[in-house]
Amino acid sequence: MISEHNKAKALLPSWASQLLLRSGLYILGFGLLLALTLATFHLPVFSSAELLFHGAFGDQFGIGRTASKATPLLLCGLGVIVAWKAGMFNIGGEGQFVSGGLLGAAVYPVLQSHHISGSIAIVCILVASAVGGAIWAGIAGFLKVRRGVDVVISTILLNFIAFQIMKWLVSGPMMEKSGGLPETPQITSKDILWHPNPQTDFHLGIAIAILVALVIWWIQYRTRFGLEMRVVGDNPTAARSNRLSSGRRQIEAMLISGALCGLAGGIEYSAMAGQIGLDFNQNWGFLAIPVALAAGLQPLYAIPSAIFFGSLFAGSVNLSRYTQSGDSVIYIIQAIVVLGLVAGQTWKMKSRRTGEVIG
Amino acid sequence: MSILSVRSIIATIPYAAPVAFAGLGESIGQLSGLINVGLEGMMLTGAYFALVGTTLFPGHFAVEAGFACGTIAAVLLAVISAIFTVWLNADQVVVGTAVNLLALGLTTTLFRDHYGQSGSLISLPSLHRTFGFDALTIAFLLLLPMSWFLVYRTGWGLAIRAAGDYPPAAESAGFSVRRLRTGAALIGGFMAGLGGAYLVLGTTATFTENMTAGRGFLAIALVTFGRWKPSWIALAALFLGLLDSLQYQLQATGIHISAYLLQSLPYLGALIVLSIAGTGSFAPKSLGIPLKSHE
Amino acid sequence: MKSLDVRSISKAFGATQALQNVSLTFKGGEVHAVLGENGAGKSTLVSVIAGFLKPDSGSIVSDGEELPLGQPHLTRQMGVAMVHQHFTLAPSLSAAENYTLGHLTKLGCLVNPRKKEAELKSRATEMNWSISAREKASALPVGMQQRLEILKNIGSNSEVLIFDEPTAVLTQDESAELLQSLRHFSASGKVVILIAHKLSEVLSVADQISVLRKGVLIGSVNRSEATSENLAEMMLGEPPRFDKVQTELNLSEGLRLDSVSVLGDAKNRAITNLSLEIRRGEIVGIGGVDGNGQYELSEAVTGVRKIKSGQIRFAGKINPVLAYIPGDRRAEGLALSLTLWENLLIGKKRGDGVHDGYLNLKVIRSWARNLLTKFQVKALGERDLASSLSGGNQQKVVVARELDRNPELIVALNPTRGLDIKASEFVRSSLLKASNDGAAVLLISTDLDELAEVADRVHFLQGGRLSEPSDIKAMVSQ
Repeated sequence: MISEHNKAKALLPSWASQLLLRSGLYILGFGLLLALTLATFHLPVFSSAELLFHGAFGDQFGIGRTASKATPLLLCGLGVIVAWKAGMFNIGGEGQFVSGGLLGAAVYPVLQSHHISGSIAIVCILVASAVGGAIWAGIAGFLKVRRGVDVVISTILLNFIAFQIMKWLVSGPMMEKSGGLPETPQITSKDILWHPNPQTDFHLGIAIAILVALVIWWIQYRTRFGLEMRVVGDNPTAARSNRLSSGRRQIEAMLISGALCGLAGGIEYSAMAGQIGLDFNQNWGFLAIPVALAAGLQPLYAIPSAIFFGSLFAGSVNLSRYTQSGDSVIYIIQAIVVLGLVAGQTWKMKSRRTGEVIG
Repeated sequence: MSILSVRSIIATIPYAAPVAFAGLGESIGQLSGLINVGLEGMMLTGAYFALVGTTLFPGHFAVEAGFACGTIAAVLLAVISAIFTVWLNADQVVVGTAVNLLALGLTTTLFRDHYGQSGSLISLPSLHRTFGFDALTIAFLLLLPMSWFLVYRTGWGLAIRAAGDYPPAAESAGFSVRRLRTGAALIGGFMAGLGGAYLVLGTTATFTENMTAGRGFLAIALVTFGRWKPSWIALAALFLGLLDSLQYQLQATGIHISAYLLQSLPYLGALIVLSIAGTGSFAPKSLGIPLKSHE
Repeated sequence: MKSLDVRSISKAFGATQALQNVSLTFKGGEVHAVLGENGAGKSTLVSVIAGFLKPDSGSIVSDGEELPLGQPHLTRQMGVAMVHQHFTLAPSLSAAENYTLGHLTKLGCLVNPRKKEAELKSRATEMNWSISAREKASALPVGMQQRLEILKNIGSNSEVLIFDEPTAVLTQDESAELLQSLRHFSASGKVVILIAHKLSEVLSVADQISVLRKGVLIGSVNRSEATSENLAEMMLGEPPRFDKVQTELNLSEGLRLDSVSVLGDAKNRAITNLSLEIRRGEIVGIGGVDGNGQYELSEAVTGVRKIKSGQIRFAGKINPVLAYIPGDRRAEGLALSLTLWENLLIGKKRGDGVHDGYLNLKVIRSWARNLLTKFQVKALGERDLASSLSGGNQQKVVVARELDRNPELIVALNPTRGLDIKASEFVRSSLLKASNDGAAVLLISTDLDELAEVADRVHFLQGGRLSEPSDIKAMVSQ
């Protein structure tokens, strides 16, 4: 391992070689895992894999699907990373996704009535959705820091509340009056987030998400603020002894995390769904947790991780067209990846542990 | 006040029971220091394998076979979960997330493989009811005092409460916290399986993909809302079921309160209770914290 | 009469030999004190006897019968009971429940709370103690918690009673009372083993005294032969050296505490009316047993903990440039899963590549590398994770980070605890150097040797109150 690593180092900057080595190993491992899972469910391994691959990368439609599914996974995954690195187990990405989408959709009629459209309207929608998500996560952050309410529990509760509020809004106050279906009005085509080719799902969102990943990486690893958030998450007592205000950093981390998930909701609304109906929550906030974990909670690794899982979900659409199985196989793969990583970490820690004991 | 008649309360029991079972099991797990985010997955597994059990053993004991298969499958999932959280000191939230995905993926894939795409609705034999009560709801009424007794009147109950509060307290008394927590996790799995199986065999008489639809998470919230006390949790579950049925009756009487908002009340209530009291004041002190691995 | 034989017990943790071939005999009817500095192996020894740790070799024999090793439950059933240094009470359970837990024979048995409450009360009365049986353990005063701890862990059939530093958190009166109860136990023929590092306590209560140093049994003496001098020499080894050069007397104004009171975590009064002055260039030592307000004092002076009343000033200012070396480097000093350069950066406001917010990594890395070299941290590079270093090197990282900012005030709490001699020497000389450069140093330590070596004067903290300065050099070198 070490010699390989050094060789790679000579050719490339160390971060690039790390990234390559890591993704190479992961792709190999995931490939094997995929084959095994497919075989377990009596699916023909090679033809299924081909279907998956074709569905994800085979043509412009496939690539578009992959990108459109990687986008919410990446943004919500980044949200998970920021919060978890600060010691806040935000598992309410889905609720923040929903509240983000809702605030975005609530702003849209206001924009229309002021005759604001095009890119300005889109920016307004996306900003509103980030704010919506941030507010929702901020509640959990505030309750944790000020009232000691466990984030896991509060974000579960807030998820449910967000879903119910969404159902109420889209079937009541925000419902399109003429339609009669529980849906908000459809965004007009000129206000939809830019699609280079309107026939595919490929849209600007993936570029935004990757840009955001770079920004989050920069914040986490190149600013004192990011360092402090990570110190607080790693060891709150050390943060206290060093007179860092952990509570503030934790609330800020939740706000950022919620904003990212909310942004994902806003993009989903303005680029894919075009309106919010009862089925707006597609569970991206939850499915992004394995994306973040597989990336080792590193913002940059989250990019390949999100694209990988996005492509699996995209490909599974194709798989379900020809076989009984579809996206459900992908959940299994996600689960095994997470458990495998957890087991691997434990093993690594055990082999490294040195005894420093005070008698 | 017809809404709150005895009959309407009894009618809500089948809806409240799945969550109540799971919540009761989860409270024991949480008292020992384990928060099981994978509860949803365990319920779903219980539900699916109840379906498998009844179809594998049709005939007189189809329902019993369903309950047996459902609980066994959920307990197996709890074993996997406990290996990671208790014996490998893995983070409980991470493992719970994986367990949920695993259960969702497995049940959906197997269901589609063996019962065709979700389109075909399956009708299953279900529990026999008299006066709105079936064997399982009666069993639940018995389980309630039994779990109270287990937690507050036996050595094991005392030891798991110590393990969830301050693990060294149990260790110094000579009990292995790992074993205690494993036991509690298995009980949690069993009860979640029972709840899931009941959803199939007692409530809906069918199985659909991802049919638990958040009930597991709801059960986790209930435990907090019920402040880790068995009877409170059962009452909270009943209250929830009542709100659920209240919406239909309100619609009938023409009162315009959104059913959706009404349904969010329990969650909102739980959140408010927690923020006023602070989780810290009732929650087991070591909830969610993995054991430090000491040699 | 009961007796307990420890036969050539050895135990190693990694590379550290915590116990080396230790053999000892404990007799019934005697209070037998095991004395030693922190890290001498006392706690390891009693943990082995009580079955919580399995030794690498050796055996333990009680009245001709070999005790099971590494099986606390069995050992306990054979009558060996241990009262731990850290309380093992479950804070949210009631006193009676904690007591019941301690006397559970098996998990399957039923619990009758009324009966257990009565039993706890009657056993407390036997000892002339009073305990509120229904109160949550966390709500009891510390002294009562200690009594509950004793009743929880000692059964009526216990013949061997081990007390691991039982007075660590007690006030002077409470300590005296507790030591009295040890005599009460030994008078009834039981074997009483007392772990301690306080000479006065040991001399006041023990019949037999054994001293451990660095895992080796130095010797066993009868109370009648023991003096504080020979015990100190046995504990500490060679007499300490004195390096501190007395600098010029007219030192400028430094830290000043005026009748400061501080609350502890349990809202108890941890520090009461404490006044202290440390001039720049001066090292003031605070000695005393852990739990007498040391931790709270260090946190109050560094501003981590709010003070309840009084005033803390540094040459008239509120915020001097401060270095804080906390008591537990793993828990408080470092973020272990972060890299060394990141750890060195914690709390750094600007300079060396830290701009108003963003970080210039090139500059920071070379700064970090230099710092690691300067403070002799053994690491492969600045990008190592803090968790990969040994304890001594981790502490050097903390010291490097804190001293690099040229502090005006240094607060160090047990800065050398658990370190080997070389690392300890390095940390102490760093403190000396910083004080010679003009920093005011508050050194809080349970290590008398250390205080004698570096401090200009030493006070003792007892129950949150500060003693008059003592002549530590005289105390140690007597």
